[in-house]
Amino acid sequence: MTDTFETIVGLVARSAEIPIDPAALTPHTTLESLAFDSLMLIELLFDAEEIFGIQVADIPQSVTTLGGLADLIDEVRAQSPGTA
Amino acid sequence: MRRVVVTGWGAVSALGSTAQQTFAALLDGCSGLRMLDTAGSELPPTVVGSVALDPATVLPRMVTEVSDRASQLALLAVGQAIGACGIEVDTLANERTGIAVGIGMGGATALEDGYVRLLGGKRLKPFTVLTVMANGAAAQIGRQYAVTGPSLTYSCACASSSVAIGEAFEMIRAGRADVMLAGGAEAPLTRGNISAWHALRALADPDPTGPQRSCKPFAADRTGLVLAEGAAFVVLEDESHATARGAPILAVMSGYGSVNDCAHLTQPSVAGQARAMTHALRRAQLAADQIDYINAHGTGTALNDKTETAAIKSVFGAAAGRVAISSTKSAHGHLLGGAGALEFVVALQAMRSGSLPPTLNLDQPDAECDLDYVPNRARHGQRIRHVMSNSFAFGGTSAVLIASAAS
Repeated sequence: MTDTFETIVGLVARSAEIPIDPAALTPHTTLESLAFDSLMLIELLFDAEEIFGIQVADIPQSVTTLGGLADLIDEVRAQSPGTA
Repeated sequence: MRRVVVTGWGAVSALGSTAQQTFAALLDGCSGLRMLDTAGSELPPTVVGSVALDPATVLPRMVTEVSDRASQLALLAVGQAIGACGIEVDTLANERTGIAVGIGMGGATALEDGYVRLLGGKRLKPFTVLTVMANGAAAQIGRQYAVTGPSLTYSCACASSSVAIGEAFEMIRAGRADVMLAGGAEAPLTRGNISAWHALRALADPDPTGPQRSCKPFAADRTGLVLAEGAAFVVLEDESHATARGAPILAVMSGYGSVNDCAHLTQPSVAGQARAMTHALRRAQLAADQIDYINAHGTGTALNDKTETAAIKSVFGAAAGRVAISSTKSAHGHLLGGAGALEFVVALQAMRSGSLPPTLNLDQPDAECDLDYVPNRARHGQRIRHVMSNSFAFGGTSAVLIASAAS
């Protein structure tokens, strides 16, 4: 699901408090480096859920990068028939 | 006891995006009232005072996403007030600066948006709690300016922001703060809220000659109030603090009275209103005949206007016939919790400029409303030393502010 990461990058660029160059974001970019706090992460996830028509139950502590977030969303998308 | 001065003000209203625009429109006899677009809803024809400026065009998305419209309007007004007072923004970031916000309905727009989503089968947004909470405006202001002193929210219906300014004044006098960002906001123009006000039968009928002529305080043909949105703030400062930094002293905050009518949920009380005015005069150490201008509560409802007139007469005695009174709600509408702050800022501008804004749509006064309401046309070249601003609320809170000329 190649569109997941691109969608997240779009949402991050829109939400971040500091100006961000979307081209500079990689799967290894950490949420911490983007100054993302827990509220901003909740909002980003809410928007991603709306876009993909999914519901993510929880965000594991192990998710610290954009790639990790994309993997988490992909996992849920794969388990949600008809929404991929 | 420390003296408290006003060093800045700001406002956003149906008449303009700034305090200056609002006051200029008032003096020009302009009205900011218009018909609400009620297409597709069950609402009857309704006149409102809405703010033309979209806060999202000037505030960052990270602010607008986590704040109600009322908080956003508050941020615009407080930003103007801080800009006007010439203070270095960095110097607000300490415990000697506080925030006092008056708001009647809190995040009413966000709450209604939430219900619309819920009833439409949609999930609620993650920030709903944060946008609905009543202290949202105070929280946003504190965050914006890194204020670490008291952050207070007063909710006393239509007296909310007069109480906020009055209590901020008392805090500085008592030495609990040096600077207070004090004011109020309201964004009540939601379908549900307007419907509720219609149910109370308190709203003005649209005037057949034009919606801008619908709010008629003190007039025999008045039919009710016009709901409006907006915000206004003042910067209050300990006088020595303001003087030390060479701040512009725009006015001296001299009196505040706040009482509970303890009479009826909606019916105003002559005794309660009179007590609030008397307390404010006593606090200011002024006699009633020293007040040159009153910005009246003047809602345009049948009961308020004659009750307020009777209360002014009971406090002012023979001087009641000489004091200039106007209800600027006739032009900007009723901001509910934000009303007192906007009208206080209007009164301060009247004092600074020597020009009195009129009560619009006052062609035929009610027989029981027989004072000088500055009908229809502004009055210029006035010597105004002391001004009073009245706010009387559902629930019984009566609050009165008095300010005096700086020199």
